[in-house]
Amino acid sequence: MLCENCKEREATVHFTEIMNGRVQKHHLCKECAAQMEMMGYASNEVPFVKLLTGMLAAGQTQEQGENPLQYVRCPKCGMTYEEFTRVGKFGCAECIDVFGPLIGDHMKKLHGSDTHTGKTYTKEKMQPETKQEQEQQDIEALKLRLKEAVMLENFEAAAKYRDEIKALQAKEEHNA
Amino acid sequence: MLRWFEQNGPEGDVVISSRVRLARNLKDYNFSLKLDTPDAHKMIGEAAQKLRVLPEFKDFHEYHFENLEEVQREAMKERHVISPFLLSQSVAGGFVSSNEDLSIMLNEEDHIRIQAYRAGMDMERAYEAADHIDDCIGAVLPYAYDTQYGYLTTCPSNVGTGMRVSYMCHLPALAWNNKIQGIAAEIGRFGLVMHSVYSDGNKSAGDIYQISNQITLGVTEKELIENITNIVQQIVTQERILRNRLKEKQKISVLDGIYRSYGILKYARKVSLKDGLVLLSQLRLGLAEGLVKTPDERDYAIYQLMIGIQPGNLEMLASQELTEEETDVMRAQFIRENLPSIE
Repeated sequence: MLCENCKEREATVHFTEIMNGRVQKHHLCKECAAQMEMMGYASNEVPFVKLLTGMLAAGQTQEQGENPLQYVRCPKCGMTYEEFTRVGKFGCAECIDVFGPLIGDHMKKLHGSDTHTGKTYTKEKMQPETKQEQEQQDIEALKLRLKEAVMLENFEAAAKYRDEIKALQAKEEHNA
Repeated sequence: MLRWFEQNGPEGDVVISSRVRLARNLKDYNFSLKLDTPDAHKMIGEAAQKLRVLPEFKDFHEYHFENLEEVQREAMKERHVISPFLLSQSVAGGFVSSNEDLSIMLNEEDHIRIQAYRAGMDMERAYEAADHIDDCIGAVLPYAYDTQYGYLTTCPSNVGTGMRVSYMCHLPALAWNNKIQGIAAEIGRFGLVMHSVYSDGNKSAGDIYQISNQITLGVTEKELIENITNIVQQIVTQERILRNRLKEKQKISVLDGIYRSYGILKYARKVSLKDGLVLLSQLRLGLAEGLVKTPDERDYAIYQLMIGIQPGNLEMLASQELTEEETDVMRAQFIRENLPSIE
């Protein structure tokens, strides 16, 4: 078999690439394979992402029958589990809460860790004016969640949101 | 004020630049993949409005893609002010410091990309600059941050520190000895990746390589910098050993190559991009090793010519669209006008 890249030399390197959940077989000669490995990095497509989508896709095909994860969906940006496994990218800040628990093990394999140890960021670092705006926004977000919880008759969660709102409002009045 | 690519920094014989890039997202907007055009405009507008009033941004130049010609954006990419990803966006903006060593890109793969360059091997100072700007931005715009996963990014490969650290190195001796692929495989074991900055088809042109970290989670910024710096120092040593061997064993052939390259650069009337890079690589080696000298041994950073001969920059100079042949003619003229004289 000839190398699919140069179409001159005999293909001696055979590999299967799982990219974005699609399986592709490649046949290359030694020279072209070595070149591709170097140049592959030149493109913006980090091999990491390929690895992640590959792992997720492999996990999916192993599941027998209906996969309950197909119903998982990020409430903020609408990213579905199927889309996430295909593109291997987050759609918003809340995706980490939705998909994070599903990829913890993969993150460990990719990064060698699943916990951030570097520079930290807290709301305390915000300027006072922006911080107040931020807290106001948090209250609005909590009110929405409270409404949703009441609608779903999840009263335990509703009570939690109510208390959090109260605490934030009390803090605001205290600051004012 | 000289820009980073117009000067030779520490270990400048081999290391061209040190670059730190931080990826940050705003908590309240969807990330790029799920950000529609109206929201992208809104995000850029809000970020720009908050940033342009900061004292740190006083001397920064603010740009928005809708006000830039395509060739201007291309030239910015060639000078590494903006990334190839930003260039591919239809809606984008940002801020650049006057000497272009700091760049803040808005609506890249992440909402905010902070980039700091320094000439030569000087990663600590590049990080200090990026870190300071990060603090300033984080104080006025709420970042997406998770206690477990750190700074949240579009790509899971960037979460944690959101930091990518890259050294750009000139490695002609390693390349001529076919050592590059071996090194690339070797440093992979340390979570690093190497790629050729300029390539012609499947081959590298100009022997310029970039070495970056891949892992961003579970390591501190300091550890990341120490790890990559340590490895790059070893690569620098190997390159120097091979350069010395070349100078000892093949001095005349090496000198001949450098002077021939100089001759073509000085007198050719048409130069392709690939030839330009290959010839300038020879000259850079000659100057770095003291095999050829500028008058008064004045320091001259060849890398600025490698940027200067890129097509976007040449088109900017010509102030008109150029055909491929016209570009080659323009390139030869640019080189003649900017080439340092050697003794």
